[in-house]
Amino acid sequence: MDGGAAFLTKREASGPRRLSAGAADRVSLILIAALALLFLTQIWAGLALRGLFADGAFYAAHLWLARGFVIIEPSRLTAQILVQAPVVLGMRLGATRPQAVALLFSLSSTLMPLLLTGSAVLILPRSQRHLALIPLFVFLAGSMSSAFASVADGPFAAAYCCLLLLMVAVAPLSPARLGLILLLSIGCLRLYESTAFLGPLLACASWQRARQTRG
Amino acid sequence: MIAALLLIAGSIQAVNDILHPRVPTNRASFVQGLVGLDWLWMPDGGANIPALAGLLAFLLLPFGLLPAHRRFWAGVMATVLFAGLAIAAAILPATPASAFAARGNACLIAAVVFAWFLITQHLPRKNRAMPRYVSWIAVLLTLTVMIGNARADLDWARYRAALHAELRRATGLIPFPPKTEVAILSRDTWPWASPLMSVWFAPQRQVRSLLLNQPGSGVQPFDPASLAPHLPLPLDAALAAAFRR
Repeated sequence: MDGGAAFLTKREASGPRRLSAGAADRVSLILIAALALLFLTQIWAGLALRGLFADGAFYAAHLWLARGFVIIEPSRLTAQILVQAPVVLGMRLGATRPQAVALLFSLSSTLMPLLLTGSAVLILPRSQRHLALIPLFVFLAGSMSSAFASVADGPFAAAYCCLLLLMVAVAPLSPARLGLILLLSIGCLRLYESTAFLGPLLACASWQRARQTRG
Repeated sequence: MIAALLLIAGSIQAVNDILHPRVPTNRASFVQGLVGLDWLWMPDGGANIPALAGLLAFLLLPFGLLPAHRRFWAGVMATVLFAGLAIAAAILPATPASAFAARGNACLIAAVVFAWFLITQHLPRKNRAMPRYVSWIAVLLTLTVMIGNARADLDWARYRAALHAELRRATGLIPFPPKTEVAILSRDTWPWASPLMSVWFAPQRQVRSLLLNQPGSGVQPFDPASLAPHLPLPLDAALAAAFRR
């Protein structure tokens, strides 16, 4: 029953009912292994062109025809530019056959939310790593429920906002990071319709941090 | 502070985009999908297991505040419930239409999580075990959605195989549903995408046939009837001809 230690407080785990000192670490390791498996199934989806499902087939066709960015939803400018950037870069580097464009688009739309979630986890200082559960839960409970339709911009926008929240509220600030926060905030001007309710929450986090830093 | 102002400006812009959408019917279908719980279950598609798993995870999180011995049993209960969902995710087919209807879920969940974070971040953390319990729920959730995603990958491979078989069987335009209808072709086909999928997944990259959309599927990106007389065409030539204006 070692796994039970995962549910005990530190004090309880170190007391007479100590079940296992490394239980928390083991849970973290299992979580990392499970996420690695999930990443593999997402790579599989990308390689199998699952990203072409629904509007994906249309976007891939127009990306190939335009040989550049295809902004169909101006209200999602940032999301569409960032998801299409690897495709456009690939085309500039010579991947101009339609199959290659479709593959790049499928991989990009499938993996981008996961990569942004990973970035949000990596910017956290070691002492705050438990907050990695914020982007993880948004990704697992929200983004994965629409993973089959990876062309949707919602999961990308959510992961983008998670990264911005953790940078604004938690990550140590440096001139470079402040610049990145500013850049990401500019991106929120045309990120996704959900900025209507995520924006005020992020603004509140920025305001709290600004007050804290000044204090 | 500049970031906060930019974020507020972005929110105002987003409200404007919601009030004045590019395609009003898209907004209507999004709202209908959300309110009608299409993201969770559709009569002809079944349950969206990854969405159900996400919902279960959120329902189970408050149990992490229980005293240790009760929290242990909450963890056991969570493991059993997620095991059941994981089995369902492996057995039941993936639900592409529900997945599309769930496209706003991540942002809605983010809003709840962000609000919780902002409210609680300055409170003293009395219970150090909460993150460990939450981590265990995250493990169970990850494994369940991973199994669901692998099942979705398999279903997608079956859809591609069924489409290939249909496209090989005939030349020219193929009415939908095809005579040798396979269930997965109906379930995993996006209403207006069959002709375009026939181009993308043409056998040997030679477009000889186009599977038509279901009757009444609405606007389609190109008219298959105008492309059909030019077939067979290589994939790139077919794509260029399909969208030639």
